[in-house]
Amino acid sequence: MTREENYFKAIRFDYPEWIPISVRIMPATWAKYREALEEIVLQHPVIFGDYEKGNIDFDGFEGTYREGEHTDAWGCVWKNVSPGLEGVVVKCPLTRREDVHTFQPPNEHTGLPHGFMFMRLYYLRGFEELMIDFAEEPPELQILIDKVLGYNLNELDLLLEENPALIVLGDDLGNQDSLPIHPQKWIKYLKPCYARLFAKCHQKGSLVYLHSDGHILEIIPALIECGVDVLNPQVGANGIDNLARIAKGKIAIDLDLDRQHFPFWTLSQIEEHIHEAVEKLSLPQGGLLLIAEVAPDVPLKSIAAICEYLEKYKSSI
Amino acid sequence: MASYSELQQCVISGDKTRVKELTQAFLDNGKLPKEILDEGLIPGMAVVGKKFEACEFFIPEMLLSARALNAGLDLLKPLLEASDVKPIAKVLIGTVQGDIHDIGKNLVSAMLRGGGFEVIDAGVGVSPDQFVELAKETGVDIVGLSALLTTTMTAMKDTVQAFESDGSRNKIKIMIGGAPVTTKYAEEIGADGYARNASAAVEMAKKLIGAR
Repeated sequence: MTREENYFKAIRFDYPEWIPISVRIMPATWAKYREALEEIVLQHPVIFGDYEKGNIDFDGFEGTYREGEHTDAWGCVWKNVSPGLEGVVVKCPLTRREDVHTFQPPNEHTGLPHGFMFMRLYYLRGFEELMIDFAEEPPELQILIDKVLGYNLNELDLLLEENPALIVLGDDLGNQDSLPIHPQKWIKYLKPCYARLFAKCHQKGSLVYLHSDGHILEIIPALIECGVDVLNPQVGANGIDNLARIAKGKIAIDLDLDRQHFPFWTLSQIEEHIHEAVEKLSLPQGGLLLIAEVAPDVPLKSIAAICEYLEKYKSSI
Repeated sequence: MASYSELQQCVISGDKTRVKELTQAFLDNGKLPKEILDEGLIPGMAVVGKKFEACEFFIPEMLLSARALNAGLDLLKPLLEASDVKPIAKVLIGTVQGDIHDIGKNLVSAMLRGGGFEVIDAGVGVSPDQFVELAKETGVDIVGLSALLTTTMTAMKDTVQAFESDGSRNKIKIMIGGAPVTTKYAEEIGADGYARNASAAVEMAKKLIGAR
């Protein structure tokens, strides 16, 4: 069975042979460790596929990962002071509520990058202004949501023309230990957006993968109702037992292993963490995937250990 | 004549216009600015903090209340300063060197102001030396350090050490917060406290001042 076949068996609860595992290496991590990291990657084809030496430009940062300021197609100004890590929006084009009325989404196609829906709203309005909008619920809130959603639906149409088996989306919906907005307001304003986007994917035969940083436990049932097929939540922000209680067996989970601890954990703590994730979330029929993101502050020996332990426990279904 | 209970309720419901009207009405009726603050605005914001902890309120409601409180505070502040009434304490807050995320810092600032603290915002990407210099210039009681990333939270340790090296560590309390930060980390780097959110930051700041 190929990696891809096994991956889809896992997310369809169709008895995969092993737990699909992956490691996401931040561009800044490549830039720091370079050939030494490449050696680790080459030792783990089960994780990194057919990566070949030289495939990565260690310093080739793109988009918001580049140092400095740039303005995106929506008019949001990004700043990056840590090349190879994600930048931050520092100037928002719609700081005045009334500007929402005349605002037009970009004419150009930008796809559905990370932060395509909820985050885009605060990239445009500014976080605090958007939160005040959610508190006061003026008509401009729904107008802005509709404009962003309309753009996203068009972009999704383009992506679906390629008939992908899986559409991968990312939008950070949670804070560290709670949702930013009341779950009922999320259901009122945002659930319909994701439901429409995900329904369009399903109509075209594509499955939906959604990444979200932060605490999202209270809206996982709503996301399931929206039709998400694979959810990529942070274990640290949600708690492994909570995720097991709310999502295990109901939806495929690509568990975002605890990257907030990887820089500080001993190798045995890393092993214990991966073991616990498998023990508490895996099912014979599938539904569990594991992903580890490594930032440049994770020691190289820990990155190697993460890869080794992922391989060790991937067969513990 | 309106009651302080009504003023509190208006802070809780985030009714900025009514908070301003009531604060002015209390002043017009000869109430002391400090009394209006202590009996109306701050207790209202304390309820907001409790509701936030209980997940009855989320960030939108908390910010709305903070803005309502500011509408009253704007009227009181010049009068408080003129009568030499001091805030509970002065807090210098900033996001540490290498980190330019400011959402958490700004929420904490809003809640601290609502708790009766004077907040001096040092901004983002603040170096350890800048924190030390600003703390001296402003004579703050507490320094609040914020970081979103594991890659930048180590700058918190550098900042604590900068205060140690400067010899001014024992003059201030240091509290830290941010997504990857924990109580254990605060202990490890020699900070005085950790707060997991904006509401908890107010309680921690009060505790630290009480402990001085």
